[in-house]
Amino acid sequence: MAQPDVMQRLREIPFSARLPEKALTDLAAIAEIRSVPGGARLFREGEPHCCIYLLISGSIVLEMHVPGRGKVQILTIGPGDVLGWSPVVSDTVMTATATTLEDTELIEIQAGALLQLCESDREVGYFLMQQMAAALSRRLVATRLQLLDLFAETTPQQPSPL
Amino acid sequence: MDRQERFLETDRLQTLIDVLTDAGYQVVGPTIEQEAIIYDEITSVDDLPRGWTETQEPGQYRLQQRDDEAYFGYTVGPHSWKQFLFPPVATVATAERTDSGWEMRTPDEPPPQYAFLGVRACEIAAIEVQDRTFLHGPYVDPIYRDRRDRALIIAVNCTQAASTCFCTSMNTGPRCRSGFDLALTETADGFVVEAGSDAGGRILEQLPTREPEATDLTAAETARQQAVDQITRRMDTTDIRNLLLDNLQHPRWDEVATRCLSCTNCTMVCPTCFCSSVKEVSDLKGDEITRERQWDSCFNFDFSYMNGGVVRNDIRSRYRQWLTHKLASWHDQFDVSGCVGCGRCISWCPVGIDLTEEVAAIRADAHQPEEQP
Amino acid sequence: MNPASCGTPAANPWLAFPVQITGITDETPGVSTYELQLTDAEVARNYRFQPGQFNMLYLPGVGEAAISLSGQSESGDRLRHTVRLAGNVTHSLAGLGVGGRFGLRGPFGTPWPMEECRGRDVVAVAGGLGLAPLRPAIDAILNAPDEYGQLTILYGARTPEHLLFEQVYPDWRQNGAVVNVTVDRSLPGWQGHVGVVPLLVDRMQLPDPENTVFLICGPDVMMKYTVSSALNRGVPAERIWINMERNMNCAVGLCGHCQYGPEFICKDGPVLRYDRVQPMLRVEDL
Repeated sequence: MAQPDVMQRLREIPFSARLPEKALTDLAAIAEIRSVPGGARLFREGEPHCCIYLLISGSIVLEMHVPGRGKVQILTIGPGDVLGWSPVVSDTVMTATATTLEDTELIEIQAGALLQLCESDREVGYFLMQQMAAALSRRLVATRLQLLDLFAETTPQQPSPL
Repeated sequence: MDRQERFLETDRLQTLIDVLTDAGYQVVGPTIEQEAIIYDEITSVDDLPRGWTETQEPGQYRLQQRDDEAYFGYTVGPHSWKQFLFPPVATVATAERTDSGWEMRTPDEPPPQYAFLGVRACEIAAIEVQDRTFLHGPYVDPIYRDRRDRALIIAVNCTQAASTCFCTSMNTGPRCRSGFDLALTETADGFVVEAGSDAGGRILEQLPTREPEATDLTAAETARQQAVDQITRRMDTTDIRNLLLDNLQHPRWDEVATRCLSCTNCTMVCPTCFCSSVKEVSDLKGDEITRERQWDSCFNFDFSYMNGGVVRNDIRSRYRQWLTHKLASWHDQFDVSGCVGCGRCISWCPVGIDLTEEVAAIRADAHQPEEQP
Repeated sequence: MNPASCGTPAANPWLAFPVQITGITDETPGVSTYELQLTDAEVARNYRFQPGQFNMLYLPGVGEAAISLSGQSESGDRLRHTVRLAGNVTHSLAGLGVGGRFGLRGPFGTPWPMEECRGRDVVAVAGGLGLAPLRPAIDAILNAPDEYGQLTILYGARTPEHLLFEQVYPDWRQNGAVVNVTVDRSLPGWQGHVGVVPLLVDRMQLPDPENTVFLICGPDVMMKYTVSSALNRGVPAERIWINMERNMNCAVGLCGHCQYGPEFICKDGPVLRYDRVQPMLRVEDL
């Protein structure tokens, strides 16, 4: 039986706020609220992991290891964000290491159970995957903007009149 | 207003130039140079293009001899009065190095006092369009203001039209209705003259005119009607602002970009284009600096230069900027069209791009914006 | 906006006033803040600017550059301009040093809508050097906390080394502002946020979006996505103001260089209400 609190939190988070009641109940049944202190490692790059997370409060840094440069911070995850989707969208290992930067509250969902839920009830699955796709799309745009390096000093293509 | 009309015989035209000169004006009028009728300082009727006219087509301007002795039997050439009110090169400021930094000034010597002789209705409209840019905005351009304030406008009503003329579409002509000090209509025997201002009236009083005969007035009316009848080019201006701004991605922009050379001719001959750039002109030691304003053009590659890049990078975006500014956003900026229908940009385009044709092509295949709910 | 009310002291818009550099602060790589004093006492007394306005800095023989005012000294008679080394003018300026003399025309352009901000929550979003034109607005709000709601400052820079005015964030926070900073690229030792500025808008506390005013300044693309995030959060288009940069030459709407659709950025902008320029932000190369 899901904690009533989980239902409430799921309703407050943009990812799940608009899910139909049925999907929300099913999701709450496989979700759990967790409080994590700052500095804790949620998962590690290159290792498999069990869960996907929705962040309620706090922040988490994603890092990737680059030989010669060490750990490079890629992105800071904040309230409302989805984190750790690798076990849901593929069966491979995690692509980054996630570490809490402060006391953080999150909803932890078992990836296997989530996939099972999507399989068994395709309608619920559709809603969930739609949200997942939207979250991925937002992340992709943000990554593109980062890639554009918008604040770089532009090198004039021609002598500047200024 | 019922203006009093007078008649000046053809052979007394010189007295007009003399009276203006005596009143302290520098008379600028039409004269022939480099196979075109241009505007320059004149002192005598002999400077005028008497007995000459021209034919104009897209990309073409040719002088031709008339079979009469008309002084003003032509339409408009490559020049406009813009070059006297908004000079192609003008000093806006100076800086001089001193012991304690820089002495910065703006010029204060009075500009010439011009009398423009032979201003057409579309040209009066163009001057009034530029008045809005340089005089009626939050900032006044002192160079334009000082010249404009002193200028006397002696209009001449068109008695014929070129194939490139479309002032009737833009509601600017061919008849001069206002905005002049004196207006002349040329007939076989002379000029019907009317004053449009007190200053014009004072000049008129000094001319050896007589009461016009009924036949003089009829001849003038017939001559003016001839111009109206000869205008064949049309531009449909119905909702033109939205037509163009709703069609910024129309394929016609790509098409015209393949012909346009981005040569800036249209903007140079246009009597309302006002773009400029200020350049630093320095003596060898760098102690005496003149800030020179020069005509510029939205067709110049570096015109929209910013932060290491050019905003309007291809000819398509530059032609689109020019035409949409002229015919659409000018309305937002100055509450008037930037086009007066003089047709100069059509004749002086080396590849004969005709804006009336471009607008018609966009209109023929226009994208309709979705209805707002 | 009537420019006369913005304190432009010149009857002739082409007249430059002599200024002297009284201080230079190195901010980030290639960016310095110049403190300038108008040397004519009469001109200095009459000079007034509003947050968001810019001056044309004139180096005789070299040219002019449009630079936003980033503040003024406590005494009010020294004008701060935060400048990135970019072209001839800014390089020549960098060669002058304290005591250097040149010219200034201004102030020009539309200010941030401080009246509209009164009594409302304000979110100032800046990217890169875009924090400089926002700083006078931030100062004005923090100097009169009773007149405004909550001020939130969201700022993104390229790397932690490129964070502008970093030394004043603690003061801003102490004076009641929420300051959230992010960088596009992290550097070793950075403990702060990594990611682009619009993410900060997605995640911020926004209790009353309909009554929150957004003031945005940064590169075009950054502003576009920041606006998109603000709209998603329920902020009305008419409460969003952006500061556009174009090639300003005359600064008074007479030369045509900075036209953006129907707007002359120099006199109708640089601060423009988003719903007025919204249709044009979608067209490339306008």
